[in-house]
Amino acid sequence: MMDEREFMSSYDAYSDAIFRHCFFRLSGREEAKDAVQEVFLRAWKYSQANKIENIRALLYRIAGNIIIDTYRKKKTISLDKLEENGFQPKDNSYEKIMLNTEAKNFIKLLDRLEDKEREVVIMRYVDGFGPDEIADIIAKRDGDEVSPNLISVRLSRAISKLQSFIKQ
Amino acid sequence: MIDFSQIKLTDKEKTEMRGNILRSVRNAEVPRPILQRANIFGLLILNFKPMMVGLLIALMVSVGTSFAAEGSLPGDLLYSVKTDVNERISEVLAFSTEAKAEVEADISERRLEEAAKLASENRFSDDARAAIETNFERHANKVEERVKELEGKGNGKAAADISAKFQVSLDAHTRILEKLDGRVIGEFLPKIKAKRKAAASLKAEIESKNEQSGAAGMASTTLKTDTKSENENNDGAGVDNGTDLRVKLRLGL
Repeated sequence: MMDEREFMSSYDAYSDAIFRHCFFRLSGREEAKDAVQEVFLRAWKYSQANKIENIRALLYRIAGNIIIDTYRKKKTISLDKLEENGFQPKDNSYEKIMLNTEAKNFIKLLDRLEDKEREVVIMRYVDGFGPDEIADIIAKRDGDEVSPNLISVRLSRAISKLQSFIKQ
Repeated sequence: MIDFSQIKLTDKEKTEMRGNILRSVRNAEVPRPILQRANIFGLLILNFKPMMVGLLIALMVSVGTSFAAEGSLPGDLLYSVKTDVNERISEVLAFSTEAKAEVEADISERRLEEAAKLASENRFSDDARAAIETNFERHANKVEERVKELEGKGNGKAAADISAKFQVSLDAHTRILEKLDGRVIGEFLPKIKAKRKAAASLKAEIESKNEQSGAAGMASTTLKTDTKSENENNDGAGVDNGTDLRVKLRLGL
């Protein structure tokens, strides 16, 4: 059972990272924000009935579930939606505009991957997890046998795909 | 390469969200139920039709009694008010077929919650079990009927969704009941599993019909397991973490 202070400091530590993860997987700022809040609310409820060994992994696991739920509600994540939702808060600084463009291009590429491929790419390159950690998080969530090997394979296939998209 | 660390919540967003979460943490908000709760008090608030409300109040024993009955269990004085008055009213108030299906699922779930509460308090007598079993089966059958009706009306998607959600909820309740005293729960568990299987088959049936007829936008409702479950029928369906927790918390376990 986690106490309030411990829990809120996990929010302080991980909310941005979780937001980033959701942002790339859901291709939208507003959806990502909703998802983050839901992640922490669910994590709190879970923490009240269960012992938590690794809060960070738990948060990513819950985020993964919420993202899957969100995918189910909408059939495709279209690029039009991306434009609608907006990437960043209104801010005209040059860096933000450049980041906007790069991020947009990155997301356009990601969008062309399968869900499972996109997931590993984001967890590896945005969240910075290694194949072992990714395998652990996904396995506990899905109950499948997911080995780090499988993750590495999935990852390199995804990267090859991305590279071929870039060449086109 | 993009500096991903630039993609984050603004200070304002972060603080605001922190406040929301903290408030929720401190109030220990009651979790939202799995299915839209077609509880009569929920309906009174959401579908406010003044004339109906007046009629209902006239019919009810008293609003206070009706409300108090909600938490009752088999053996309690007010239990018949819960099943014969409150639940009956919920059924009547549900207008669309979809709403009716959800009410029946809701009521079925209530029987399972009651079973769990009684079992955990060592109050699950044979009489109580018999009553709950019969009632549960009756309402679970009605879920099936309504789902088929809904499909017949051309709303295959909603029909499959309701069946899928019902199955998920039955899974969650089964897992909880399995952890309680097996002797006490007895024959009830296989009956619940049978209904769950029926819900899963129905969902699959509806979805395959829709695929065959090429209905647009009919994505298969696949559910993932979060533990290695001992389900005899490995149709790949299971419970997501969130559902399990919500059910547990509602039961105070």
